[in-house]
Amino acid sequence: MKKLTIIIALLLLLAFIPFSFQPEGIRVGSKKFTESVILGECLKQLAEDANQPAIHYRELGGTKLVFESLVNGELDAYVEYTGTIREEILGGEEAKTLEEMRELLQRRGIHMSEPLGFNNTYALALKRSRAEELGVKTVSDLTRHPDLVYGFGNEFMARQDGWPGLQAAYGLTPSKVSGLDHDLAYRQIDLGTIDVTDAYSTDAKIKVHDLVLLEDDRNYFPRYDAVVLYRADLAKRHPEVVQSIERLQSSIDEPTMTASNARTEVERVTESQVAADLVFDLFGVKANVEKSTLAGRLFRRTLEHLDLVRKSLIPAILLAIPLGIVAVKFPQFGSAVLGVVGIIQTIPSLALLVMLMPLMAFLGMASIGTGSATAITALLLYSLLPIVRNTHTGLKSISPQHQQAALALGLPAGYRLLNIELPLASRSILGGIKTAAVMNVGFATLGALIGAGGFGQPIITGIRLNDTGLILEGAIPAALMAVVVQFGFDAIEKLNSPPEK
Amino acid sequence: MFEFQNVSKQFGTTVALQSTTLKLQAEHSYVLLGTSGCGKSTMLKLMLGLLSPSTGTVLFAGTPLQPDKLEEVRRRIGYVIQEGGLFPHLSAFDNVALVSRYLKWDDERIRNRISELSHLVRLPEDSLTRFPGQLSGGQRQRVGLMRALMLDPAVLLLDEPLGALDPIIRFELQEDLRTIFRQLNKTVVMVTHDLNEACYFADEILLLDAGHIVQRGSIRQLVETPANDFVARFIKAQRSELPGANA
Repeated sequence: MKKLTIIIALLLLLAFIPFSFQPEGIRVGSKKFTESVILGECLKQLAEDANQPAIHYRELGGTKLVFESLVNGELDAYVEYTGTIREEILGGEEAKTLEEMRELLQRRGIHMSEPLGFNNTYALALKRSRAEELGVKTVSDLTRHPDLVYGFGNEFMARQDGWPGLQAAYGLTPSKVSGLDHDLAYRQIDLGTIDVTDAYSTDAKIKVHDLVLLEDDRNYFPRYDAVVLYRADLAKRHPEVVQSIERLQSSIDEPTMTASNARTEVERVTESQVAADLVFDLFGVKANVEKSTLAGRLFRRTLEHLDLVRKSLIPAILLAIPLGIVAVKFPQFGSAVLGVVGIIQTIPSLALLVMLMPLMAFLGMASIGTGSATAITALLLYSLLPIVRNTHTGLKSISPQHQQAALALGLPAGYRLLNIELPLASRSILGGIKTAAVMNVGFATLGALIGAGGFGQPIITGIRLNDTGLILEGAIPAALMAVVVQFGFDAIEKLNSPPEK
Repeated sequence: MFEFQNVSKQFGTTVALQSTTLKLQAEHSYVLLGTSGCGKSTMLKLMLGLLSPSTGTVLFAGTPLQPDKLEEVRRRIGYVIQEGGLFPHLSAFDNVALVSRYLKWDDERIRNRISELSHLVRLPEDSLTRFPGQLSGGQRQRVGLMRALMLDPAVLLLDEPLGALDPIIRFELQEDLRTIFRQLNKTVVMVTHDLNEACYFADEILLLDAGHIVQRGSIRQLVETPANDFVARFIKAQRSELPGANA
């Protein structure tokens, strides 16, 4: 009993002793696409230019997650698009003009800047040479060339505001239209197997593949003007910061943004450097770009990753074992518990994070950044199933002979549980903890979706930039950590099992 | 020491023990004898309260078994099963000491008692540091007996204690067990299917068939005046195992 108390105390200490601290400053965010990250860096550098320290939580999981963080006060500012604000954020509310949108956001304590000057919407693209040869400049011009072959990304093919609506709006009747993977479309257009594809109007690939965008002369596509969203209280706390970032208004046109995106995606210049060059060119601001070494990055991410693992796995163990015990002692409650932890396992990680955010906000706990309570809670929930199930199975599979021998000794239930039943089930329980730990190391890459860092960060960036090296920079250490955890538990299992010979 | 008042036990529709009324005297040794599934182990488990009767009452030392008193009663009964029922995660010593530790005996008292018991059951003390997996079947059985005797219970219940042992070790252990029982003067109830073992240990044999006691008495009574055809056949079958016994 004493031993158990000491073990639990040590585990709790290991779980909750802090070794990282949350940096203070203006918190800006970005979503996980290059343009958003570059603009996030711009916000950070402009805030720093106003002599305020700033942190950039980059590549956060999605619109909902980023916007909720802004409303909850975990972020101060980020760059959003008017189309997204209208469709996703204010979805269901009537907001046609910028003024109406501003009004509705204001009610939630959010200010919206004037547009930054470029519109990142859908557009149709042709090879420059082909367009010139045909004399095509607008979408309407396409009606004169029904023999062109169209190849669209699958999403554009399916979206109501994509191809179906466009075709109706312009009365296009091409001979051949096919849906394909969007990245493949660029390759096909280079090969000449397709003539027309869809693109984002500031997509770096436009420059790489030497495409021209056709003018949407009937204004079919909704506008996706970039704007800065920031908390109303930021204007009160740091008016100089708001002033500094509002310099971005009407200052970036489409070619500038496209070129900047291309520098990161094609030339592999870091987003920070691209942003620094941009703010220098536009405003003469000299930004401080931090250079990181591989070793430094690995060290920091290992700490971040371990932080997520220990803070989620240890409480999960301390919660799941009692749940497993209760599940055995009260079978009806038991099947409910096993059902619930099983269902949790099937919730996609981003959805779980978004579901947990309001709860964490209610509890006054941080969602964004290192030590994100939301990420830790999600990981904790994901870790429950193997431990609860194996505790349940382990206790259930104690032989009747041992159960009766334990009963016949005249020991009370609690004493039997601690000294006989749990030790007899320990092999199974340890197996569950091992599975949970290995899974946890893998799942902890979700921390990157919410700014908690870890090995997920380079994986997300690598996927975005199609950079295998960067993906491996996250995937290899994560896999190694999982292997180390596996070996560690194998060793514990060996120590735990009684000698046979 | 034990009393069954109209005790029966059913598992679903299967009758394990038909309504039985009997008394077992203190300081006597009894053997519950019969083929497998005759209800003899069920009787033992009813005595320990590991099973509760479907009808009737089981009394221990004149008091009906009550759920809230079971732990106390069980600590006054030593229970030995095949292979000793040892817990594989505990050393032999810790298996024996388990209950005394719960009762907060001091370490010296535990050590002294275990040393005494290891002499009684003729088990070298140094083998007590080993785990059950490292002991032979006979040694495990001796450890199981030590664990049952640790609190010096008034009663020993043994469920086929020698069932899994090879013949030579079995013979040695039979000898030792009988010596121990005589020395300790305890109430002993042993379950076996082996007539020779029954003869060896029992003051009185209770022969069971299909969930009821068909005859109760000494081996002589069973042989000379079998209560029915089953008793006669049971005895004949087991005697004929020995060469020349049929002659």
